[in-house]
Amino acid sequence: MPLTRGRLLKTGFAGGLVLALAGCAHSNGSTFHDDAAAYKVLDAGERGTVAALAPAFLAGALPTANGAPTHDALVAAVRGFDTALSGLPPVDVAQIQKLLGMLDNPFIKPLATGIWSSWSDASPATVTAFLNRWRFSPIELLRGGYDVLHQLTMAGWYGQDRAWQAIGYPGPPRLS
Amino acid sequence: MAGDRLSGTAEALVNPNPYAAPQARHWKMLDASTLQRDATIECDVAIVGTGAGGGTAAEILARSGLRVVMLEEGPLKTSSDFHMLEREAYPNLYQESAGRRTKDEGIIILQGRSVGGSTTVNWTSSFRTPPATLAYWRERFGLDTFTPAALAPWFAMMERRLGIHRWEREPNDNNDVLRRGAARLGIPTAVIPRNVRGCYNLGYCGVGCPTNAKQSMLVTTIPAALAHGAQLVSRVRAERFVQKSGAVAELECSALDSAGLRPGPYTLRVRARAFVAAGGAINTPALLMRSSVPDPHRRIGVRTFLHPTVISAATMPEEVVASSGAPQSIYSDHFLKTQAIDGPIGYKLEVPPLHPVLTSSTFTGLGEFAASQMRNFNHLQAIIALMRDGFNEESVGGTVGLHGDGTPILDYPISSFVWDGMRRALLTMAEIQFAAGARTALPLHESAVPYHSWAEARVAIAALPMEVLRTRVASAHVMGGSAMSKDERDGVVDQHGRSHALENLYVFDGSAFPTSLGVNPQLSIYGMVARNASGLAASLTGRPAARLAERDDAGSEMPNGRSALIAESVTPTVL
Repeated sequence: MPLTRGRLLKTGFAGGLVLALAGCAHSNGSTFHDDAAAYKVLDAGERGTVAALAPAFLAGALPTANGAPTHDALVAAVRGFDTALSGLPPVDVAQIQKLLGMLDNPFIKPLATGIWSSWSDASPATVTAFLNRWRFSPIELLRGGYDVLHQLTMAGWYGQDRAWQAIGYPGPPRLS
Repeated sequence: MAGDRLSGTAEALVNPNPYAAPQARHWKMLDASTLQRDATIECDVAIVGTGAGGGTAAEILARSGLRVVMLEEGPLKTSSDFHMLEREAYPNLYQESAGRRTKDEGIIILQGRSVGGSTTVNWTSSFRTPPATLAYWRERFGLDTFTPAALAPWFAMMERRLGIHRWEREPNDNNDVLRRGAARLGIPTAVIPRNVRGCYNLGYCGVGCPTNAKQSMLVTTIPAALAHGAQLVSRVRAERFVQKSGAVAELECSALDSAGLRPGPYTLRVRARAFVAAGGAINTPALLMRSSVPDPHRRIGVRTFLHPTVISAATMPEEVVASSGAPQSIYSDHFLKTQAIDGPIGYKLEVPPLHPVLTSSTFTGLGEFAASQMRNFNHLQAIIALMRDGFNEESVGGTVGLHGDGTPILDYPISSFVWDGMRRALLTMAEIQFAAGARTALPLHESAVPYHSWAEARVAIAALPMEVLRTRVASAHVMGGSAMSKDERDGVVDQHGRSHALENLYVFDGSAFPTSLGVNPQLSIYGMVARNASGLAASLTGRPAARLAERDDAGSEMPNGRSALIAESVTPTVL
């Protein structure tokens, strides 16, 4: 039976608990900080979650220093996600924010992701393993959640000029 | 900034932007997000949507002497705004920022949402409706006027109007892989007709043509309608038709906010003799549902078709640069013809352009796997297979529903009948890519990896679980949901596009098709709507409708000021 993002939140793993607890608490304790004014949609907690996921989605694409994405690159990736999200209809933005809220909720996140530590303490391999669990899940709604996050992260990064040199895309032609 | 690129001498070389011409200052255009109060417009015909259907209807009706108002939910963006950047184009020019999906998230739908609708962002492929499709419509839906001979003059008129001709330049390497590989396997291909004049062969049709070469509605029929006194209102959402005595009395619209995503505080009412729904499949059925158009046989929104499409990506030894050059120039209908139209599902083969956002978000996997595909960017080649859905009882399409806020959502479960075709198509495409010399072929499926030979690919593809959100499925062609039918029990409108339920309501867009087409839809919409809008014009004026000439004469027309905007607050009365 097809389940929408809305159903994901209403009938998912923790049932009514999700609605009771969503938004009550934040778990990620993220170390990601950026100017709030640069964001159209994401709040601080949501930015932290996206900042934890983006290095896994974009491993091999984000410029790194000492094995971790540079701060500049991570900021660009999170801002790109926000930009991509902000163009969606209000009904979809709200649902994706609920999804991000669930991933930032101390009671639901461990059940949903298998990650018990805070996002900032989760290793890239742990985050990748979680994303792959959703990606290959027998539960369609988890695959859908993965795919929506994948699309927004990729679109947000590769829409920026800074992503193009690494792939050999010269940018649009000049008409002269 | 990219805007500089069209300056200086380049500006003189490209087709002029009609909206920047001096006479455009006299055109009646309103960005509804700037309204400061409720407003009412009166006219002869109100057209909801400015894509292939709405644009064609607007020019014919306006040239026939009728007062026309065009309503568009998206913004008016022109070549001055087209910087060939995906990050600008998707939010500005596409439904749901190019992220529209079916209810289970399983199919990504690319549909336009700006003045010109999908014609502003399509890849220009222009095919007449196949005779086999028309024959099925005549037999199954009683559409006896849909014969190739009866439609030929309308297709011919629109082909002349829009410069549709077989692409005369060499295909880009992305298309050439399809041609070459298919030829080695004995699979026939052909050259695609395109609606372009003076094309620069840039490859950026999908993000708004920067040179006005693409003969979209944005640069052809809509400026011509404006030059004949029509009014264009952008950033306005048609909420509902208000009914009285078996007819539509007025159309209630919301002026959107400045971001163009949410309804603002002001209402626009449009009173007209006739109302045309041309918002495209998904949006048109949703409008009819919000309007509670009588639907005793529950035909509104059902049988919505997508040409659900699967993708195979190859890495070629040579550079392909699939971001550059006319995006679609080669196709094969071989697998539409190898079995009966109502037999196992057939598919059309084409190629997509590859730009960074579209590629990275459509390709599968994450992390180093995804990054390594992207590092191959200039060597990537892709083929797409479009399933011809709707011709078999196991392919009944999807159903449009409404969110709580009235916006539409399409539920399209993919049946095992359709999955079967998708698996065959993934096999076909990989075989073609290897025949053309591909180093690897990667079906876009989460469980697939790049395969290094046809033998390896054949075994692996046969074992892939064909399931939603494992197999990447996309659509750029939405059809049906307000289907034509002779018998009112089978559809929503008659063969003239007129509602079975309300006497002055018409559907002039791809939602009127009773099945998918088996070809990219724009020319089928142009031809059908040219005929049906001409019929409407004749019925409203008592004279034959105007014929469309090869070139519009917008440049020489003076405005005639026939449609009147009454910018005043009105009480919501029914006429």
